[in-house]
Amino acid sequence: MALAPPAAAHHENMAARVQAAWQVASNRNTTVAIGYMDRVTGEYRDNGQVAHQHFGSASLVKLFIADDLLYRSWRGEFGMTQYDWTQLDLMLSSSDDAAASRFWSNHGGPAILNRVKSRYGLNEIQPPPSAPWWGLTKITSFDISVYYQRMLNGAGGLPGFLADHIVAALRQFTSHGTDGFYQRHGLPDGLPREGVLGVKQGWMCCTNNTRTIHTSGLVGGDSRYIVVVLGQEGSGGSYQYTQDSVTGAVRALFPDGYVHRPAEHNPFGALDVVTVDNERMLVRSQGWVIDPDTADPTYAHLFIDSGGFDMGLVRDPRPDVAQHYPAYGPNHGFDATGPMPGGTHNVCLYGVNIHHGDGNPQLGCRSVSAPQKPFGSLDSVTPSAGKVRVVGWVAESELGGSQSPAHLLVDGVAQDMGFAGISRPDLQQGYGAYGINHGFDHTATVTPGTHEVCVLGIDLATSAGHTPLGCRTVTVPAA
Amino acid sequence: MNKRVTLLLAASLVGLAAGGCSSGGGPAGAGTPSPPPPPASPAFSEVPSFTGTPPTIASVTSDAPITATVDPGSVARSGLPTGDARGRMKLALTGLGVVESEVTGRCEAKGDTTRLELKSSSGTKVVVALVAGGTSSVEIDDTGLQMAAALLPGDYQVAPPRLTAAARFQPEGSDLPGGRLDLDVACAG
Repeated sequence: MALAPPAAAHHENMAARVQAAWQVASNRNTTVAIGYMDRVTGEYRDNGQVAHQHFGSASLVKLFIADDLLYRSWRGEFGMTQYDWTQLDLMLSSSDDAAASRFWSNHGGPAILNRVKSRYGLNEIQPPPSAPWWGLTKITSFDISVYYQRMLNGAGGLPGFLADHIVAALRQFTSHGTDGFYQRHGLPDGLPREGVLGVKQGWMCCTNNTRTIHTSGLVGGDSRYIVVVLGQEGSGGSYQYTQDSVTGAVRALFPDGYVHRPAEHNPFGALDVVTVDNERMLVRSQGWVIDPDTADPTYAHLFIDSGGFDMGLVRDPRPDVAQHYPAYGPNHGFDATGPMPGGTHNVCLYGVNIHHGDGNPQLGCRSVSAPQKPFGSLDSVTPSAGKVRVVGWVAESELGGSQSPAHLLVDGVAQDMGFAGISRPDLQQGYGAYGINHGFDHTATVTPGTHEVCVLGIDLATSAGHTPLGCRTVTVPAA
Repeated sequence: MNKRVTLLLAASLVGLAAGGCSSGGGPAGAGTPSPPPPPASPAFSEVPSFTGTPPTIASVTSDAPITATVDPGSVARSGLPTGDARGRMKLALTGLGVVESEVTGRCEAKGDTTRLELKSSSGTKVVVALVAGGTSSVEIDDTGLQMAAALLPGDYQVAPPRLTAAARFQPEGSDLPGGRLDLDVACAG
């Protein structure tokens, strides 16, 4: 049986992608600060120091305004009218400036930021240098990324149903702001194959001879990915140019127009049953594995504690599985039996990636026990003229690496083969914990004719019984 | 037994269950959040639902539309006196914010240009230059904010000593309008 290669982990190299995105924008003389976060794996990437560089917030500060309003009204510090709720939603979905200005002036202006900073532990944002101009709030892509993460996980104190409200408003982003500005730059235009996006954009020009275009938001129905690109360049040129730079950066981050979700390409399946034959010291495992990237059979590995076994291609018919997953065909089952060491052990199944994905997931484990008896295998019985040769191995877990004896039985008549002590390097991967010098290779003289040839592992230490390692019926020719 | 697969012992299992390339636990360097304890009795536990028709977008955004297309230079020589200025201003900058306040300052009519130097109660300085036959402009100066913009055609009316205006402006270096200026100023002769 051919060995299954270890699965090649399929990683999106987001560090390189961030660098490429920065380069795309830089080639157009647009400075971009980039933040990317996978909230499931915790992977965070940015473009280094630039991600901690201050940019004017433009309308991204509306996230903080909305958060502060919702949080404090929930706490009962003031009441929000229907008009307030409507304006808040409009401020988020259509980036309405008038709504933001009204909230800003009515609720303390820069004090809003100080409250949000404290609640969310945002070290880098700073209030605007002049109180009326909320768009000059100093932000970094790092802190915006952290804000999204903490808003979603509740670390800033905002209850989940209000975080959901913000996300819902961001997902209802309009193609144009209430000022008529096209606001599909960046994430929407850069991720056309993503079905669910929550977006907050920003734009302003030309304070201090700078044009600012920001894109930020949450990708996926589970808001798994946070993407922030803050962009700015010298004024002159056009908004369109800067928007194209920012959109180009997003496209460089995700060239396929969507965020790969490697784990969704990992194999799936089940370890249905694990049983132990205490007489013969065998463990039997049954289950199934499917790699979602193919209808062909895939590979699986089984572990008994730290000992690993390659089950090769898993391709037994499993009509019950096929009924649930018809797209993948019927042949994804396995039914594997092998020697079982004495004691209590975890038997675990892993699916092996054969295409995309980010690892070889564990698909199930069972804890099983067996008595302290010899275990092993009768690999072959070979008859020859007046003789029979038996090859295999036997060990006993409570003896550690010490050798175990075995008996040869020909038609029920025992012969002592002595201790099994031949080196068996092939044992290392699966049973290395018990040593590898457990092989036997014994040739006995027998009469011509048909015989039942068996090997018995002889129990030492705790007396739990001998173990029949296997039998074969062979016909021995005359000498 | 149905076609058992014998466990093969010599498997190469290096890399099994390899992990992702996570940098681990999110971005390092962020501060510690410090929200106060949740309230014992929050004001609501779900987003309120309202009956009745919500306000329309037009009513929410509130500013009266600019319908006139008067060239700002056309009022430069309309007889505004030179002297102290006093009135109200609303200055909205796209993506930045708004200043709406009393203003004081000075008006100066000289040749083809009428110039108003105004200062809001919050300290925002605004210089409006209405230039007959030329480019009328507005300059904005505040802490951390400097901008020069061309005034666009809009609603400009002069009834000496009073100037009222509602107009958009386009910042220098921008290809789109970047804000709106509403003025109601009297110049004392």
